[in-house]
Amino acid sequence: MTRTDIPRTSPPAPPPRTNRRKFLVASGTAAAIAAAAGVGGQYLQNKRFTVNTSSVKLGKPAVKPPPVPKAADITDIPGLSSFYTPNDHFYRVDTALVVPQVSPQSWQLHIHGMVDTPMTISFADLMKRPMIDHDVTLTCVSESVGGGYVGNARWQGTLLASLLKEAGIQKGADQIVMRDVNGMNLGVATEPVMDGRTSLLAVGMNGQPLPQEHGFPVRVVVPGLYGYVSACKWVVDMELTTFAAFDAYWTHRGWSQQAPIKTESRIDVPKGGSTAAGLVTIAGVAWAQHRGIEAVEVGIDGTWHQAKLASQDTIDTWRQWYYPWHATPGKHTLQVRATDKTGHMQTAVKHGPEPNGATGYHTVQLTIT
Amino acid sequence: MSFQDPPRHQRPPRYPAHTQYADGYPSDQDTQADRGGGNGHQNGYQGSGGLAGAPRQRPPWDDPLQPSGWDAGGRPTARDTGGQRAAWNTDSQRAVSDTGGQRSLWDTGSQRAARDTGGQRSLRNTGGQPPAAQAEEGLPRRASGVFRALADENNGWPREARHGQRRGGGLLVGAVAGFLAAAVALGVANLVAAFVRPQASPIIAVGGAFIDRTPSALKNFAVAKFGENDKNMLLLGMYVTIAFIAIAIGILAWRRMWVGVAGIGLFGLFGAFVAITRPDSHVTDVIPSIVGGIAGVVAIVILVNAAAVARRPRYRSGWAA
Repeated sequence: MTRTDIPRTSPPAPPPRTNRRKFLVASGTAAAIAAAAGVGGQYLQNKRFTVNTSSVKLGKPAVKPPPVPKAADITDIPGLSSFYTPNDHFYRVDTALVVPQVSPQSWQLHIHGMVDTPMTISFADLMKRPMIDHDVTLTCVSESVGGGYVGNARWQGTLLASLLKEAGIQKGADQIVMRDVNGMNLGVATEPVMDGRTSLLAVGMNGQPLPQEHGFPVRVVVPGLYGYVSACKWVVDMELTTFAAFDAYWTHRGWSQQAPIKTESRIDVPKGGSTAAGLVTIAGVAWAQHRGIEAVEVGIDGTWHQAKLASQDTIDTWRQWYYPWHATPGKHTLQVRATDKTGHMQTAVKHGPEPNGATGYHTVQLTIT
Repeated sequence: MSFQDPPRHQRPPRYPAHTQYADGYPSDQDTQADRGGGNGHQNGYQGSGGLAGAPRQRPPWDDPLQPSGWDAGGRPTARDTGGQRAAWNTDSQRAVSDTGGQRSLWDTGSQRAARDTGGQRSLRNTGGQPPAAQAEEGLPRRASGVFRALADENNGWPREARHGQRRGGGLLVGAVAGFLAAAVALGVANLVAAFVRPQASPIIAVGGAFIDRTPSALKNFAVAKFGENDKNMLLLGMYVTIAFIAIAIGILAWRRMWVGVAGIGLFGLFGAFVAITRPDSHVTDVIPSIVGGIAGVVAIVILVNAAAVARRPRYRSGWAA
């Protein structure tokens, strides 16, 4: 029959706009592939690349630190930071989106640049060197007043200065550019590293091998300097150079070339809000690494009171402090300020972290009921 | 009246034989009269519509020998095409439709409109009518080249028709297709990165590059606002951004497949470029992004095609019945 013979009836239904069933099948398949590949890929990445930190056995340190005074760690004030920060509570600030996984077997440190004898040292070589235990409080430059980017740990490692002396630093090399396994770089001034302080190539943290997030297998710890100018994690390369020749990562982004940690203090308790009247213990920590904390004062509504200090461990660590206060009902403003052993009192001038560390008094508003 | 329409093979051709034209189908000038607002009808083809001095072919509808009743009489029935035709009908066609009832599938409304109403918009101006379609039923198709290919590709439907079908529901379908294509690309890239190194995963490479380029004000804000969650927030922000871009690409791909292919492909190339320019990168770092990009392109092509209405138009089945 021909088309013309077909009588016209009602118009047929419009065709479906999309092929729904086919599309649903294809979408489901795509979603399944995406999920399987994504999750499977993550699983495989973890399985193939995660390095077991327990393969590193920390030995007995050649230099045993003097015993920490019992009174250096006040433990009976709830809410007060413990003297040693547990590894899993230690702050982590870095630019690595995935934690680098470096196996100790493949780890090597290259020391080159303005040195007499460039060196390459393996992890086994490093572990043969004399190990030192030393307590150091690390602080991040991003720490705003009253913030949490500060932590104290017992580090085990070998002296960076002695290694660099073996390489032979040439005259004029005022900067050490340290690079991690991802190519991230930090620049530290040569002078503080070599001035006799306990700068470590650390392999242990609080009696454990370094956790992966904290630089396994080897990181740098320099007492008294903010992390961004010293504490290179996953370090594999050290180049002796000059500040004039190279702007390190953070210097390039407007932060100071050199940044000693500023004298600061923090109120841990009370947190603020409201508390019942009576005896209230105000407590916290104060730090001025490599200068040491001499005194801490607590300001209550503008009147300053001398706080009691925990015993001094080393001048490279923070000190806990507390002040028992007979609180009366009403609104109160609590402040804290520290004085370091050079006699310098922390400044009241409020300043943000840029370019070399925040300043100001940590202030807590409190209502006593 | 349509029942009295003569069978198509008895209908006079609306165009002279194609061989009459130098290149097998009417040129611009040949059809100028058709465009000139009823010019052909009112003043003859030599009116103001054409290019001065250009040789002219007399359009068939201006043929004085053409029987006057051709217009009404020349329309075959096309029972099964009504619904689909609506997708590409223009107003002028519809206007004719309303008065004239049924038409041949390939009748351009403008031809008739020009005659019937003395000047409506020409569908031909929108382009793409395959001359192949103008061959009468039962006569060999003489068109060749791109028009023929177009006509064949669409099973005899003009291009607009298929696009009309694609347009419907395209927003959701395109969005889903784009989103899933990006998910496939990232998932596959992540899987491949497990055999290269985690840092070669495009999301990690691009995120790292972003960290390095973050203005300090934004970085300080992120650190102050999110603290040590800043990296997770960055990743979340990246996933959301990628999802939005992918959805946009998918919606465009629904209309123009090449946009989807190019968009997802560029995503892969961008990831590869960033991965290779990271400090301490290896040459192999490009592999996850490249493979992921290819997977994403394949995914968007398959997804968009899966949603497209089957190429074979319905009227064919009507024929068979």
